[in-house]
Amino acid sequence: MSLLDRDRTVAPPGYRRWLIPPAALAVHLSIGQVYAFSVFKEPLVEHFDTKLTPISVIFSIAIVMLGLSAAFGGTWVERNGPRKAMFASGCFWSLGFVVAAIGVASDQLWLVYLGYGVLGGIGLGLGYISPVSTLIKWFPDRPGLATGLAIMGFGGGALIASPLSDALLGFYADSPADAIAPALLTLGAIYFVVMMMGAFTVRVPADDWQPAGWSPDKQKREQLVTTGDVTAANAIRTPQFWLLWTVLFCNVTAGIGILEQAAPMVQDHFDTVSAAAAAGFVGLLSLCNMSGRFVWSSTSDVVGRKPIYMLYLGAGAVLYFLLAATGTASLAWFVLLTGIILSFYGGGFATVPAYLKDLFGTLEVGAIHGRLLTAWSAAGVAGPLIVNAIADAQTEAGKSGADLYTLSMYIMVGVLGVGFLANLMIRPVSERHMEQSAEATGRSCRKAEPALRAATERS
Amino acid sequence: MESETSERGAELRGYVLWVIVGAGLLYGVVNTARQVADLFGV
Repeated sequence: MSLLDRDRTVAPPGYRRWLIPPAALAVHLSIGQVYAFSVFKEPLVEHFDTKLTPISVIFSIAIVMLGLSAAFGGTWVERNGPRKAMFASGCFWSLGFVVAAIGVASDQLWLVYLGYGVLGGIGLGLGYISPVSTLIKWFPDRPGLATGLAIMGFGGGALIASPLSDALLGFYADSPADAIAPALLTLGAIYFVVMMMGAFTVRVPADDWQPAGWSPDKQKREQLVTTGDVTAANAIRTPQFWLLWTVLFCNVTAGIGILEQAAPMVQDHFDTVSAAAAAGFVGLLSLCNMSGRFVWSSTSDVVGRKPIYMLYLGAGAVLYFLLAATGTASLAWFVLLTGIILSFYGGGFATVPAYLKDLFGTLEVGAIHGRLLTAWSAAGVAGPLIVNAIADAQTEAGKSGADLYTLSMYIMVGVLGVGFLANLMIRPVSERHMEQSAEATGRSCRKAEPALRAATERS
Repeated sequence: MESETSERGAELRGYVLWVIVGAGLLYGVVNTARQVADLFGV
């Protein structure tokens, strides 16, 4: 397996760094299929002759496994490099499709849980964090742009997988319920090839490599980011980690509240919206989610990480308030407000690796990112729970239409307010948490310097 | 570091990947645009 070792992936002098983002995108666009899992829901319900809840569990297992594998596998990914991590991710993700297809063909739902949920979920977690620290090392001058580009792929994966899955389900049989197994196998094969191309294209920069005309000292003067490095084990002992965890949790909770209920929400607000048009609304939100990841994360390189999160959370709260108070005014106004909110949701995901790099340095930023993604898993439970539970309670109270969501939206204003305060409280990491030298970790990294130079935003 | 030949192969794969991911994203955006047209009755 030496071909997969980190040492074999060190780029020679002159290697073009713009060949790294497509490798990251290949992985993220593939694993982003998880957001299009809903395409298989109805066919699976029909195939297994069951209700929606047992089928929805498949997606939930995958997301929980994503958070767990990112949290527990982060250090392994950091130590073994991006190629081995992407290779492992591709194997788990594709094997998940194969096992799920066997489960469908043999009418064993537990095999679908094991395949797509557990194995696929491990592939999701490893794949999500695998290119992050590599991209940050290749683009120390524009980390927001680089990670935004890759994580944009995760948002965009559903845009490709959704119509592709529909086409495959229609191609293999007259009834989608009879075409699930071959469709899953086909997707698994396509994703395996694309992810392997990504794995064998990715390179890590040499230890002393820097972009032409750029130096860490110049970056320090310009943006006051840390020049020290903090290990993942130390990072989770800092208040900054947990404040950022809260920021991500609040941002994701607010966004996922809309995303999860998008189709029924727009139809409850406007009687004239058909099911097909509601699907268009969901697609538009996915597009906003995807483009927000790139646009806002790139913007953070210019305005700084802390200010951009003030925008996501502060302006997001105002937009949520307007949505609750005036959302029924017109369809275009409703779509505009929700579209911007979802762009902030995507931006929050994509900017967080660069924020972590600013706070904790590049040494184990991938592993720290993995631990931070537990906020995503928690928000994935909290967001839909708030919206669904309140909608159910309002229905029982005899309310209908837009009234089902008004209270949830006001709660989301409060959630975003909490995130806004947490972001305000983030300060530079104390020197005592930083590594004293590169040798201390047995790995090559930028030499740590006093933490007084650390800060998270522009002066 | 890998041999010069395999480095050239890696560079080529990088360019091919740009084409593949670009085409994939275009496919997704065009399909979404069609759905959005339905939403506004265009």
